[in-house]
Amino acid sequence: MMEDATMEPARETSAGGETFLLKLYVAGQTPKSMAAIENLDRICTEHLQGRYRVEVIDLARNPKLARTDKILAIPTLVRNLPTPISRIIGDLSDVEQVLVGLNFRKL
Amino acid sequence: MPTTLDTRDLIRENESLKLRLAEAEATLDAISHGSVDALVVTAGKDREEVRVILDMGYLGDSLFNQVAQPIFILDHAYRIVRSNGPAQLMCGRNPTSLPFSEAVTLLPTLESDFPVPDELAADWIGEGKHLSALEVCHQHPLRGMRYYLLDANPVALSWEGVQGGMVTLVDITERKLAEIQSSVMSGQLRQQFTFMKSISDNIAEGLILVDEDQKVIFQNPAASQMMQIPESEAAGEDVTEVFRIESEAGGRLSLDWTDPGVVEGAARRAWVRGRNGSRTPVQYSIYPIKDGEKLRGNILVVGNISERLTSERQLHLSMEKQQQSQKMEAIGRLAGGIAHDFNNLLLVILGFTDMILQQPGLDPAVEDSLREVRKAGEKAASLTGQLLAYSRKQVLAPKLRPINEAVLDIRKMIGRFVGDNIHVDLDLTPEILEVEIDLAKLQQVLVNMILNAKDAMPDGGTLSIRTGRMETSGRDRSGMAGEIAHESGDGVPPGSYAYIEIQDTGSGMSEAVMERLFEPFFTTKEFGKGSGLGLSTAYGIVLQLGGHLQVFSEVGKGSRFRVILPLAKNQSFPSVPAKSANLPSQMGAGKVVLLVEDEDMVRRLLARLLKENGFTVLEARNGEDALAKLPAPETPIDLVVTDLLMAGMGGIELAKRLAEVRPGLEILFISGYREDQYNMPLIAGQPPYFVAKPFGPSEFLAKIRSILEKKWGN
Repeated sequence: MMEDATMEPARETSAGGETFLLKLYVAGQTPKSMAAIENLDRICTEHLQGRYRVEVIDLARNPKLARTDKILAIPTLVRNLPTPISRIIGDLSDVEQVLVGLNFRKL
Repeated sequence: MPTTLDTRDLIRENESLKLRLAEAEATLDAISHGSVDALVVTAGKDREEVRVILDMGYLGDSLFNQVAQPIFILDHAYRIVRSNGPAQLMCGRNPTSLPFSEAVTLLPTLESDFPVPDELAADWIGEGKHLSALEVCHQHPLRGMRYYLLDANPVALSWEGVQGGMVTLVDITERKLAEIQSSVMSGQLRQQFTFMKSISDNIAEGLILVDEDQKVIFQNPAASQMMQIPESEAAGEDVTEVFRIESEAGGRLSLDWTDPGVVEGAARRAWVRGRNGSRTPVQYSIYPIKDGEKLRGNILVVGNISERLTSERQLHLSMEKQQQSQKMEAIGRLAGGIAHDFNNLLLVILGFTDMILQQPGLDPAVEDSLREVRKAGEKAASLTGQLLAYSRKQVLAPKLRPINEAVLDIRKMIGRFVGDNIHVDLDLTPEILEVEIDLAKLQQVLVNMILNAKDAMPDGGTLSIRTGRMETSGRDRSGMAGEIAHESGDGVPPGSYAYIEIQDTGSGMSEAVMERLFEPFFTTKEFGKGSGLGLSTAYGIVLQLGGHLQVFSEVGKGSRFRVILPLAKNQSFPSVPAKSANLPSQMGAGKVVLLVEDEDMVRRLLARLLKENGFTVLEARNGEDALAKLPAPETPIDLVVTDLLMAGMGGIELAKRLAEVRPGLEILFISGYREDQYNMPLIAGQPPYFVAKPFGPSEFLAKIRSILEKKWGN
């Protein structure tokens, strides 16, 4: 089972701009969860250049953590920072949707 | 009325609800697009419990397609709701919505005791029962019989917890076939081994199996017996320590395993020394056991050849004996032939000598010389007589007599023969054992043996003479320890016998001497001291009496001669009366004799003898000659005198021809073989007249006179 994990790189600040705090909720190694992890890693690497922090939360191990962000479906990505909080449900395979949904473009 | 604060709160709450709704919509949208594969739900009384439910629909395809084993998902009614590729391959079609038992026909394996279909037919889903590792068979239309391990587990099929079941099968066909094959194989091997073992346990040959280091792996009971070592002790030992071989003389032999001649199965002979000291003559062969080109060991096959050796030895002995007896027979014939010729010569010598001696007014000096000639001639005649006896051609006159008589009659003579330094010990049976013997001849045999015994004891000793009864069972050689036995003929056949034994304490005989003992002219005595005919004559006489001679001897301890005679048989030969008569001269006046004889000297002598006695003699050289010279029927022939054996037509054939052309003729046969008279055909129902050579003139004339007297009645 997957541990709750912080994805690389864990840089809180950078020269010009805010740091994104992202939480990815998965349930064990379901195909969509695995795909979401993979896709998020690629998007962050390409578009956030180290200005992000990601937590992967495995609800199969600890379902109660679903309450924090009122998670209904898995996988779900939650942007806690910068506010407002926003979320994207699904395996993050639509990169455009992810970039719009999380306002990465505005950076 | 709501306050401003209230209004701001409401707006904020409205925003939040809008956001929540958007999120819900997004979630539903994601679910409907199949972008999620699990949901988070709350449960329990206060909805405090949070569960994550994985969606089978999302998991199914990827999982099913990754798994190589057939998997069937059944609903609560055991209908197939899902199946993966391998499962569909197993069914030969897509089995969705078919009852599992219809789509897949499973059979129990041969080994499984429980009826698999029954277990599967039970309501294992409803009962929440897990079936684990059932061995089943499935007959596939194309792939043939396959073996599986089957697991069946009840599972929740939906968010609502609808019960269903999952059946997974693991294909174990390869392993199972290998197992079956090996169990069949091991069964066959076991059977073969049992079969081979029963063979090796029961054959007479010893088998010893050795590995490449010549250590014994296995030996059969026959080998254990020969070597006197139980298999348990032999196993692991060096084979040369177990299979200890020796030469016949007892020297240790080495077993050279590297000698290709030995290892390739050539038979060798040796003696096996058993652990208890026993010795067994064997023939052994070594065969290599190869695994491809590599030598894995050898098998040693050992046969006990005791019996074969014995029979080989017996065969050798009997061949020797046969050769000996053939040799004796050949010598006998030779001797008989020589004697026959001698008899003719002696007849002439003695005949003419007698004729001269009968002439009146002979110079006494000449007469003395002639008498010496005649003595020498008679001695020679007796010598030929002995030769003929050896060759069994001499007539014996056997009568029933107690065997002791033969000894008692010569008892007085014995003392005179042997001299003072030899003690004579008589041990005669009290039984009256009657045997058919020619007493004189038997005594000749005994005297001969006694003289031999005396010669064997020049420094004195004991001469023992025993008589007794003897029953033989066929193979009786009854030699004592250390003695060499020698026997006449082919051994004594089973029966009752009387024997006379003559034993000395003299020098004894070597085997080489004994082998030639009965040969005529064989002697160990100094030149001039013995004729070498004594024992051979004895041999001939004993054989003629239907008896046997046995000789036992040991060098340095003396010899024992045993004459064995069959007890009482009623058969006797008429003895030839030796008549002597003074014949009046001119008895043949006016009588005609046809004289047929191929030996010129003999014919001339007889013709002269007959003529001197007044006969008219017609001479012929053989049968044909006689028939040719036969005078006209009006010329009477009073007597035909013919030799039996002649070059050309012999006496018997002549007699037959004469019976045709001149019936009623009297015929006198003469022959060098006395025995011939008993083998001749009857002439006119009567035994023929016969006179044996050599005969003196008076015997010859007396015979003629008796014939003529019978004929003319005067």
